[in-house]
Amino acid sequence: MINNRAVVPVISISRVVPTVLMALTILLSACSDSSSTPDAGFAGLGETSSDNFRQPSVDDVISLPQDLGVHPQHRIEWWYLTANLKTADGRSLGLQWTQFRRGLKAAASVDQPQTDWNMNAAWMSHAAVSVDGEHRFSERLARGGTRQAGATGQPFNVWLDDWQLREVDGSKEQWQLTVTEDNWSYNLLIAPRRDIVRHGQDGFSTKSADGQGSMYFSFVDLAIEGDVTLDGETYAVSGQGWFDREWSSQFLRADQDGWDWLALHLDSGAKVMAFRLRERDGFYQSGTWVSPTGEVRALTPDQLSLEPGRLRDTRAGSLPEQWQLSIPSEGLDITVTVPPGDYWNNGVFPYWESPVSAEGTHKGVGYLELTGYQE
Amino acid sequence: MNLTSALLSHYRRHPWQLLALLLILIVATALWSGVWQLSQQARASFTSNDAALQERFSVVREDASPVTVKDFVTLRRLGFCVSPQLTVERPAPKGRVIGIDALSLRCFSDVPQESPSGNSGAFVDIGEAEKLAAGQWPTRLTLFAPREYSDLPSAYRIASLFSGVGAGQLADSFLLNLDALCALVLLISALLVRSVFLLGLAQREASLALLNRFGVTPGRLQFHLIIELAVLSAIGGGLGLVFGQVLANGFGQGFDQALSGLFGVRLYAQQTTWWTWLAPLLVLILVMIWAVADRVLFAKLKTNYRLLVLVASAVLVIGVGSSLLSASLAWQFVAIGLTLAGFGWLTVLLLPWLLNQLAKTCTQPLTGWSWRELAVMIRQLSLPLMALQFAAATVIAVHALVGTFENTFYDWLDQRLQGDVYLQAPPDLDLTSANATLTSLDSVKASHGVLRGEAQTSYGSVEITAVDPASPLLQPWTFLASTQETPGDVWRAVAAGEILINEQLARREQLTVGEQLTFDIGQSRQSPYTGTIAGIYADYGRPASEVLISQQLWPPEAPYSSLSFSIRLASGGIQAFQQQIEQAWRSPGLTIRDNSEIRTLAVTIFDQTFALTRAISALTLALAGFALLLMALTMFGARKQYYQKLQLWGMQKRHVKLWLMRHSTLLTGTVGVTALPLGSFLTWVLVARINPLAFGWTLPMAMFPVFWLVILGLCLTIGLILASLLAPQIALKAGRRG
Repeated sequence: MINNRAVVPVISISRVVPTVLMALTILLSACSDSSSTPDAGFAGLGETSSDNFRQPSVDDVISLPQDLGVHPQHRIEWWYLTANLKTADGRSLGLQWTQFRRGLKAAASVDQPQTDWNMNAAWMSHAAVSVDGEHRFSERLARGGTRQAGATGQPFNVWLDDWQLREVDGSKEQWQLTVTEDNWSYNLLIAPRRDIVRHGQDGFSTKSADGQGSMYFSFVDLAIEGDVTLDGETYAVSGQGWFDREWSSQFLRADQDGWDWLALHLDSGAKVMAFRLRERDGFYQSGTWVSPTGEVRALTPDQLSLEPGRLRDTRAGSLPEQWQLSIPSEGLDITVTVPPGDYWNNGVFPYWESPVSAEGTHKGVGYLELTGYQE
Repeated sequence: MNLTSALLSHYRRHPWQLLALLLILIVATALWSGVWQLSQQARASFTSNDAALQERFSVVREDASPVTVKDFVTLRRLGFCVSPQLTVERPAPKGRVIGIDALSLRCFSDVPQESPSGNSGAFVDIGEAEKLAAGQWPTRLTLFAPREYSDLPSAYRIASLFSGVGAGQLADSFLLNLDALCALVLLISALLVRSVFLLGLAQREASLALLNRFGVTPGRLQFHLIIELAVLSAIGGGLGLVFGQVLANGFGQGFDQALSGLFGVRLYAQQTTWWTWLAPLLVLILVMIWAVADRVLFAKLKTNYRLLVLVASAVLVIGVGSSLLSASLAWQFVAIGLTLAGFGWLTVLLLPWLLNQLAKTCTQPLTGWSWRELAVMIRQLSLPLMALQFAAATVIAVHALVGTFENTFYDWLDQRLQGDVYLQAPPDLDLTSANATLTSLDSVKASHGVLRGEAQTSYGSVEITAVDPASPLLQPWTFLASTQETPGDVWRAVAAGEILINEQLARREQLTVGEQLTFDIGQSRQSPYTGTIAGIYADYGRPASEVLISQQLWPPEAPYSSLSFSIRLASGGIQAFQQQIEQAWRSPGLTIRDNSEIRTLAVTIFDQTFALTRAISALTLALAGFALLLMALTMFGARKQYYQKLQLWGMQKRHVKLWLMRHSTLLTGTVGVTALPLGSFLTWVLVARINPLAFGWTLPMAMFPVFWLVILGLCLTIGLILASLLAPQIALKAGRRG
């Protein structure tokens, strides 16, 4: 997935800024280590690092379980789950849970005992449920350093307050995700069915023609079941999900004003992820194809086409509700459509996150994320 | 020549009038917009303070040990919305620092989602606060909760922090005072602008009629006049706003100290937006147009003198009646406005009538003329005279309020700052052993220990203070009410188990002496104590309710938040004492403060608190005086012929000047005299009506006749200046004299 998810405060901050965002921004700017020391280990990138955070490189290796935990030497990272589920009576239900970490000071480890109020990172968690065109979203924030929020690779556990994604004991690998809000909640059991997929070059996912990038891997095939409670009524749900892990230290390039990302579960058993970073003079795109049997193929910018179609007017701006995705080498040419509804995640940094369906040479479901469209 | 330049040619002929209008607008706008800006900033600070820290509920540990960051995390991980506040108590003058966590505050529904930038300046981040404390100053962690959770884990429970009156309510009252002052300045300036503008209008009557005959419709003329005033207001107001900003910046620091001293809220610089500038300007333009609307837009109203007197009397009666009867703070301010308006109006209606009556009874023609002349002057200068009267009355009232407060405050300070030094004991020190050590020191003549903590009552949480009633340092205390004859008897009653409460608690809960109060110290919930209220003491300048008891009543197991001593030194300086006590307690770096220094600091803060109010009222008086001079100078053009005639009839120039001086000083002196009852009434409303409603405590009503004389003197000085300015106008040209 793209470093989009990083809710990094680069995206236009021209809107009315809520208190917490202000506090967050002030804290971030006040606490960031702004010393200008080039990181010798990353001279190959040809860039001077503006601080002590590590830049990901093509030489970095993804290894589990530690890479499921925190990367204190990197500035930005996220754990991102989307799920296309069905209720017992066959209604489609989309679900999202994300946790972001924004490091304020590069640290060798976050394992040092933290019992004071010194803030080493800002954490943010998002949860959303979409059913019958109705979209519910909630956001939580926490300061790092107190262990109010955190993440560990072993055992796998990511939490903020009482929202938590954690590994459960048992013979097979299984996670539990719990989110509780005032009027809605969910409690899901999640089982990875395939090994992780490393995007880009062994997990180094390029994000611009300059070669900047992030470390990015996914569990593309998750079997999910559990309960979703809406306004006191509990629904048994089941379906499939997609889980992204991504970390980086780079901000988006100044001329990248937003992105379009999607991940699809095709009926054939194939999985596809594609993204487009919109730049001033065009865009940078990339993707990953996972065949029904699990072979992974990174898609270079010229191996796919992702084109916006019809626009939808929403209260926060108009955005493409239809996308044409084609990957000629795989014989894929599909139209991806957002169901009716308003899927803005109105948090500190508003963005669009909606379940989608695909028609064409292949059929399927998935999730679409659009940022930088709010007016 | 087009219509605009034809109309504006008036100001070419009367440049002083234009200057006067602009000066009034500039000074008035600077005054009220300066105060307005400060009160807006303060309001924003209060909003942020209230929203961030509405101290309604806090989570405490059942085992009474202080909460830690671990407790915060435990509760958050269980899904409870709690937010930490770390209070760092730094000794004066650095003062208290409050650290908050903006991120966890989000689950408090009343946290404003939008706020002026720089919000974080009101408080510091909790991490910063911790860094500031650096183990050097005592800190207190509180975990706030937005509601009374009933399902907390068994190790925790909710404690109510309700104090009866939030800082917000008090703050509102304080700011209401400021707003009222703003409105008063605005109204006085509206009166002044009206008087100058109407004077100009009278002078332009002929040219306006001419323009009308040339085919300019009355509508167009009215439109142009309104635009003219709006443009003048915009120019004068714009410049005034700049000066207002300077004024606000100048007073910002003192005001900040006032806020933190009175309400524990810090003022922070509010970002100036276009609205901060535009809003006062729009208000000014509208008020100015309103001030002249009746004369510009409508034909001259036929006035019935008797009806006017009736209406003015009715306004006055309603104003005074409302002051006496209403319990609403806002309505008290309306009442002040009505009283001022009614009284001022009646003054300028009745005085000329009285003077004319006086003239009729006069046998001396010169004296008769003199009274009539004065009556004419009052009628012509009625508006600036009213403005001067209001300003003088306001100055009298504000001075009385501040003076009263000052005296009471100093008495109270002396009462509270007994002894030479104040000593804060290190934590966990036992009172008995601390007392024993102090008694043994040869540098200590007398010592008096004070325990402070928190107690629960049926009215919520109150502060509790425990003293040794036998201490000679307490004997000079005075009480607002008591069941005993003498203060000594009150302390004997306290020693016998009765209690004292502060005025705030008494007023808030309608408690009086002789009644009983049940409280529970340190939230122990084990041994509630019921005591008879032996007396009520004054406790100015803060909102908290307080109960004062004998140390004998303090349960040995109950925690106290502080133990301090007032100490009278026997010999040697503070340093010698510090050395001895630090050795005796084996506790270096003790907080020992010189009481005279505290007193100086308190007095400084107090002075700054009211510097603003004093400055505004004084400047308003200056403005009104200045406007009166300008007006009189212009009006006198039509009156000077009578004085010239006196000379022509043979009166010596010196004597004519004397008559002029008599008239001008009588004019301003009368205004001064009529301002006295008005000022006294205003004082009474502020002290006896508004202060208890706003602050929860009363002040003894006091009059300052010497200051009345000062005001009268000022008014007479204005009269003398007026006479000296007018004198050259009555001089006859040399050629005519022959």
